[in-house]
Amino acid sequence: MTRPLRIGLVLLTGLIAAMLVSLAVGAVAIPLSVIVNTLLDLDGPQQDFIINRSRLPRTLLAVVTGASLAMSGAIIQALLRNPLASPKIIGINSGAALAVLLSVVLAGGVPLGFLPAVAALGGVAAAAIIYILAEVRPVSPARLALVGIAVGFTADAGVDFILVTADTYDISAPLVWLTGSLWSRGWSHLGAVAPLLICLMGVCLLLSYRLDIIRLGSAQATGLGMHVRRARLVLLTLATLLAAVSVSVVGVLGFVGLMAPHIARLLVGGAHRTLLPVALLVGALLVVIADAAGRALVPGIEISAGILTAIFGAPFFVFLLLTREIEARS
Amino acid sequence: MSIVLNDIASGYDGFRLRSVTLEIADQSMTALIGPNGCGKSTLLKTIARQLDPRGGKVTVGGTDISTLRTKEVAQRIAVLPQHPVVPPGITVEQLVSYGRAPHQNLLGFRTEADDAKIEEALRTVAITGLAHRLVSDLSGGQRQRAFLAMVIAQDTPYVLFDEPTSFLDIRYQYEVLDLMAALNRSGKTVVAVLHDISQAARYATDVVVMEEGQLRTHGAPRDTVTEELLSSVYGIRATIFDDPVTGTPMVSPLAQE
Amino acid sequence: MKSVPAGNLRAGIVRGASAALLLGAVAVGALWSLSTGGRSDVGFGDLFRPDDLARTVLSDIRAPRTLAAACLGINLGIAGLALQAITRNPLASPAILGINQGAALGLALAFVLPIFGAVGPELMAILGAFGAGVLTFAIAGGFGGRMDAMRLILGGVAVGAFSYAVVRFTFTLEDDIARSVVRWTVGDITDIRWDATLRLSAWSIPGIIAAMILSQRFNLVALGQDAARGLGADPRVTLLLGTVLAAVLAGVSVSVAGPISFTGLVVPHLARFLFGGDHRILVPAVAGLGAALMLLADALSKVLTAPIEAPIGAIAALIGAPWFLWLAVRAKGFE
Repeated sequence: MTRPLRIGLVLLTGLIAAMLVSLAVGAVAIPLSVIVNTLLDLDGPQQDFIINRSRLPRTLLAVVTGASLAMSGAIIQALLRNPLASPKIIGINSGAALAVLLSVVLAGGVPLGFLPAVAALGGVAAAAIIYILAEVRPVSPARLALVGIAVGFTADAGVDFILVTADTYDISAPLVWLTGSLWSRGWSHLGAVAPLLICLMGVCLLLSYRLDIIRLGSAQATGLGMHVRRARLVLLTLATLLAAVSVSVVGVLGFVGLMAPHIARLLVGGAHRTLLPVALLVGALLVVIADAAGRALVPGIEISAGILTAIFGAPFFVFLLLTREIEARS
Repeated sequence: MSIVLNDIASGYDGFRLRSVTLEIADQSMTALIGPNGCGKSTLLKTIARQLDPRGGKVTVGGTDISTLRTKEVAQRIAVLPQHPVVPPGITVEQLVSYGRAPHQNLLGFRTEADDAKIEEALRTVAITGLAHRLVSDLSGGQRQRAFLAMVIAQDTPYVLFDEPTSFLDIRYQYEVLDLMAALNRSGKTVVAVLHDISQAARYATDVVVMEEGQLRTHGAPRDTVTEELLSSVYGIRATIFDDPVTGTPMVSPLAQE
Repeated sequence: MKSVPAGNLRAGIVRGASAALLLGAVAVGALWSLSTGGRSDVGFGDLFRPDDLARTVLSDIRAPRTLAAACLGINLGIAGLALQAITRNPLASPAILGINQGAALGLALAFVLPIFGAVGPELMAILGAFGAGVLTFAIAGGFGGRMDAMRLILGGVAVGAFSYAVVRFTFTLEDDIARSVVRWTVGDITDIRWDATLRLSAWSIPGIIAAMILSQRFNLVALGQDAARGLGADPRVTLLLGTVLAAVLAGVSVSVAGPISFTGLVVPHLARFLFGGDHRILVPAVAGLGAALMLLADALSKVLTAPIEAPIGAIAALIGAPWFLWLAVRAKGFE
């Protein structure tokens, strides 16, 4: 068995175990036998309400969004050829936050149910602005990154400005929405985003070899018969949608998009055909564990997954960093 | 004063240079040749102390280079890397002035003597007119000349080149080779990794042939570039005849079966 | 006699004019910052003929704040320049060493745990900043002598993410802390007094001098590791010295004013667009540009949303980001 396959299987097993744990822990602890009974509708004690209504959709949402953010980050890092790149660099987070706050200030507050749509639109709009501005001259990874920083900071400045001047109570609910948590997310959220995210991820996996060719540099890639500009636009659009749609339901889980690709790269190396699936598993695993721990750690308080992904993920990442050779930079 | 390698072991994790003992004569123009992956570049980097040997000793001009400070190495040996990084926002003149860095104090303030060396280097490679253009705006051949000028401005007794003619068209290839020969005539010891065996035989006074991390042979082009060597080291059948212009050995491959 | 090439002369004139403009901007920013503030009856005219009230306001409240703004611009700008140079990464900034987030963590710990509270919030912020910097440094291999720019970047991001997550964790536990720390995490110099200002400014001049000494090394590292070594500047030494410089400057700044991320990341880019890629020119240019930007931001932060004061970091981004965007969109010479 090849090494990437072995690592993939270990991660998959870990993910399934983590999902079972995620179903078991929370305000009410549920034994494994009851979980199995409930899921498979067997005889014996069941916990239909807690598992099917609350924990199952939430756990599945953690899997899908974690995987999406990780994949988005891996694609953006490859396109920008920069290890510090993440969905944040193409403006997703700042755009989503600014759009949500503007909707409060300008429209006098939209119903909470519309916030995901507003956030996704804001994220996509910011990414579109960045790409169009970067296209004024021939696009290059360096310019794209710098324009991304500039647009991101402009949006962040707008967010800070609104925060300082606005009435705190109007904006506190929308802000909580954006802090990266799966609290109170249910089937309706899952149903709204999962089909789209799964399709997008499938397309990305099909296109993964193109990332490997683009990494050779645009001249080489063109020489290998690729329409680099078009491929870059397509992949960037996919990465943008993955991140923006995920952010719209679970808020900003910044660490996943940045670190899951690096963790995957340290585990299996840089070829994207293996990197993308492994990054996807790492991202899902991180968010599921963080969400479960957030419910179990301090009884009575929910700690948001955004916080715990970093608290669990960062030490693991440092461990990998210290024990593995880093691939030479291109 | 020559470059002496004594039982050198060197290289990265995947690749090893094994027990290389070699003396590169002073004021020679030595070409390092051999098939891909034979250790030419590793050998060059070890001489320049860009790679610390795992065993053995490199002596340059009578001094063990492992005892020198990085700056002292740079005052003796200049290197043109195979793929120099082109920094953004730097003019040709600035780039060439960096060649003076090993001779300057830490702030890099230029003296009149530095200015003269920089101007001379620009003139030697005939890019005085490009002095205030950005390096990133230049064509491949112009860029290579700018980096050559930097190496010339460094003004060291030993100059090393790692495949200086790769990716250049034929005119620039011979320009670079002629410049190397001129440097050699002015009294410098020149060591170059070269791909083209006929070019190596034409320009070099000495040829070092590497094979699988070891020294295969070392001597004058006439004695080293032979049909037997081509078949055993490179695995090609070829005939060797005298270059009609210079009389040096020239390679013409035969049909391979 | 040596002839000066025409291109050289024109570049010299442009550079001289830019430098004059920059100094002018610093002066205007300083005067404007001094002449505005909560007491609107103390204005520009009082700078030259102050009465007793104006003298008190100017010397006790406004002067320390104005000087602090300028020093923040210098310290953060140079820290960012050094980090971008040694990592050869345009996205590098003091935030990537985890310094900003480490300082926030120190502060949060001071509020949550009584043991740390006794140390005092400000000292805890400094300790946090340096602790994070040292940890990042250790992960990058700085103590083993084989430091690596990629490890430095990735290690710093991990340390920063972890620290900030712990800070947010403490918010979750106690609401009151959230209020005092959140305000601080935006970056703020509203209540700054002379003791903090002096601590900040004590590092600015040594920082500029150290950066000048390292500037030629930064130039050589830009040519790549092998080329830098070939020219006599061991890139590992450059990496080490540059990291220490950036950690000290950023750590002191963050401990006084909180994390102002924009300045460290963007001011070096602005300077590079205006003055080119030679670090011997970039160091003074970044110092001037950083000071000018922060002085103007300080003045505007008092005026723009009066009577509330806006955080200086947000205002700096509000002025600087569109300018940066315009330059980034127009810039040539990529790839």
